[in-house]
Amino acid sequence: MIKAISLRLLSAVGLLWGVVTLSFILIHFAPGDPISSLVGENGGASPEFVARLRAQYGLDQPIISQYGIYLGHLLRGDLGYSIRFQTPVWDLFRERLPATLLLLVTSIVVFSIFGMIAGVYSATRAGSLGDSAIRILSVLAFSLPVFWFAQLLIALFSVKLHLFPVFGMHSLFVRPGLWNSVRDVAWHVVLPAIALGAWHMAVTQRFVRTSLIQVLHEDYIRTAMAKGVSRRAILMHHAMRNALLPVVTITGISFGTMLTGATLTEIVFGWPGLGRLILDGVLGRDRPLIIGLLLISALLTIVVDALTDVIHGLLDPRIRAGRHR
Amino acid sequence: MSITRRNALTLLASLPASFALPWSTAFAEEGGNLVVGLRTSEPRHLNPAVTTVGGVQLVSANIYSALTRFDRDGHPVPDLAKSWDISPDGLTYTFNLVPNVKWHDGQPFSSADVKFSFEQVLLPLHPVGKINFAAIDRIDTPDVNTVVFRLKYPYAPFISLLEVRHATILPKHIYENTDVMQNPANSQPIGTGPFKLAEWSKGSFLRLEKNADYFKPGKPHLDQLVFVIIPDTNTMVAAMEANQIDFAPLGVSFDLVETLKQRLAPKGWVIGTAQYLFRGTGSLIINTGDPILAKREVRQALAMLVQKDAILSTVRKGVGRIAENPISWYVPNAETDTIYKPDLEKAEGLLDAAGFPRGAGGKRFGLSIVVSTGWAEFEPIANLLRDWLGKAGIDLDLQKVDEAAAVDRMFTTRNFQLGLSNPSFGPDPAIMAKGFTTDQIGKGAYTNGMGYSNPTVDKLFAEGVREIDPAARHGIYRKIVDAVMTDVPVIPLYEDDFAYAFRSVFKGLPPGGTHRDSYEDVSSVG
Repeated sequence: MIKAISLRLLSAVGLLWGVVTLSFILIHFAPGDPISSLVGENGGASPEFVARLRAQYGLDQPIISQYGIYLGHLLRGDLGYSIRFQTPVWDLFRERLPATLLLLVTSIVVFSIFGMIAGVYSATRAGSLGDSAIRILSVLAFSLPVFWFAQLLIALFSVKLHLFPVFGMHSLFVRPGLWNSVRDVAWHVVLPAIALGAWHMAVTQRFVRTSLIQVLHEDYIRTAMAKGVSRRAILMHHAMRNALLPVVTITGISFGTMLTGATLTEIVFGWPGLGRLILDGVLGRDRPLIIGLLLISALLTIVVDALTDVIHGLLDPRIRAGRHR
Repeated sequence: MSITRRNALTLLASLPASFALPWSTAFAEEGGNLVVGLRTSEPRHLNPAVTTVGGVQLVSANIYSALTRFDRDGHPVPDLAKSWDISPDGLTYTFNLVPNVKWHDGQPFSSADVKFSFEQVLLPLHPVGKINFAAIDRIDTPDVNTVVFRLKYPYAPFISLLEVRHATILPKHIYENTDVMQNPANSQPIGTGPFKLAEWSKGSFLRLEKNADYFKPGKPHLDQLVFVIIPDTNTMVAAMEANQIDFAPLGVSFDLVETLKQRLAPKGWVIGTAQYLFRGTGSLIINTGDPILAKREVRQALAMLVQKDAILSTVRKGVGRIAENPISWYVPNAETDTIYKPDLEKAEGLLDAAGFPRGAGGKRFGLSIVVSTGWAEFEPIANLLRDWLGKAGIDLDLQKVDEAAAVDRMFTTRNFQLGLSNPSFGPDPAIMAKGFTTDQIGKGAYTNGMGYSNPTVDKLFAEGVREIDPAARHGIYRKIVDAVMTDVPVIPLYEDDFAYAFRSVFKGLPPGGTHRDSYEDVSSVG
């Protein structure tokens, strides 16, 4: 067990180092310069000013020493200083990460549940009109580009029907009080969560449907049926538990895709998360910010991966016992 | 409203003003909130004395003041300085400050704040402070309400560089003996401006409240001013349609004007375009260090292959105006006679004479053009250029890169042949020097990327900056423009116009203007 955990940690560290190194090299060789982008936005700066900034961010050093300095700082838990925002990268994350996580987690939890319900419905009524309708919707949701779907939602629910706000996470003039704030944020999260979660719901629905149909044809289900166990009990106790395994896997895998989707969703809805930071960072060649963002994304993915394994273990006694077929 | 004698008089008095749309302040009411949609990145701090970033300037122009501000025509008018006096030799500028001005924390403002801001912040730390204020020899403060600038040499642009973009006045009592760049007041600003920062919800919005102690009586009119960050253009338009914002100063791109007029005008929005200060000139810039383009005849031929009216009407949808010279409209008498009209035959003659006759397949040579994806209009313009140059036997290869890479290739590494750019040289024609003098070659963003070097032009720029007689100055810049347009290191294509959108219930908004002015004159009318 300890060996497994240490191996896992070691590979995680190796992966993170790879992410840092690769992104460092790629950004270095991308044309464009962070200081030029910074001062160029509004018509340039004096050469002294540019030289001072260059020295301040260590950009006057050779690439190897820049890399060494960065790694050194990283090992001390320092993510560096954003050139574009002139703020420690960690401070930017602290400001923005909660909003992204709120959006992601809401989206994943709510739409996993919806996806599962739709999947169970489809599987147990395979071939029915309802199943066909769900499958068509699911193909649609699966293939809609996030940013386009987000615009459609805004056009319909915000501009036409005035049901939800167009942008942001908070109202500009909200009455004080915790309950009012919570309600306000919940009201704002609905459309971005739908835009982001639709794809995940479609994926979940398809996996649950396929996997459940397969499980329902297994011998042990037939045996349970023959023993007279109720349909509901078979579904809940025997079939779902097994059918859920691939769903957990797919949720873990789709986390990475959703993180990308969150970037687009956040930009469209003006959601104050990491999304806009990524775009600003890349356009501004803000190396510390980009590497920091990639690092945190990699870290989140690793954590989610580990969580997926733990949940697998809870669901599947074979894995918990460390035995494999 | 019942018609009382007073109301009737007010109505009568405001009639002439109401014709001066769209910026009139007719029937103004006190109070109300204005929500402004920002499409820039969120400002990281609110200290305009150490940056030129647009978002910072836009918000902080409402929090801070400067000695002067611009009027609608770009002329300096009083702000913290109620009047000023320039000595006949142009070496001494005496400013009389408005008395009894208070900082937002209640401390008194004085001439010491002005001296401190120039000496300790603007000169060492503002990105162009060293260039703008190099002429300052000494700043004296004979009393709390007087500041005297003594210059080393006459410096004509001086008076137009004292507004909030270039010369914000910071509170000495907050910034003295601190690391200015790290001072917490950069994000909790204490200014003398019409509004105070009340709340900053990071990544979402900045809420400003009326400064009840503002030094201009009766201003500002609004209670609150909110800047919301909406990065996506479509979302910005949706926010306008849903009336969730009132004004989009940077949110409207020129190609949306017609669509917005159709969609928003019926909902009580005013959409239009206007000339503005500091606007850019969309230009084809030419690397004069390139073996082919080093020949002046080739560059002149290129200028004759370009059809500026087609660019303006098809790509720019008519927004803007044709540019014949690199100095913008706000410099009077700078028009040049050296104008290149489309003339394929003449262009071909010049190319033949330059030693590039048509070869096999009618081709003369190939060129590449750097096209930044940061500007919607550049790619369609480059496609038109490819057609026009192709007719003269020149192949054009489009190299699309993002804005950072384009700036780098055109202005820093100068690794390009042709490029499209949108440089802006204002508010004084002297600023144009950084794009055209020999000592500015390859000095970074928007400097002399063309590698243009003409000793006469260098000399004229040096004269222009020291000449204080306006007529003589215009003469000098006229000569500069003529020389530059004869050498053609750059082909000016169109002057940008500013597209604005605001709800018609607001009056007195900053005009197309710099849109980096304070909103002290804005009021709601319903």
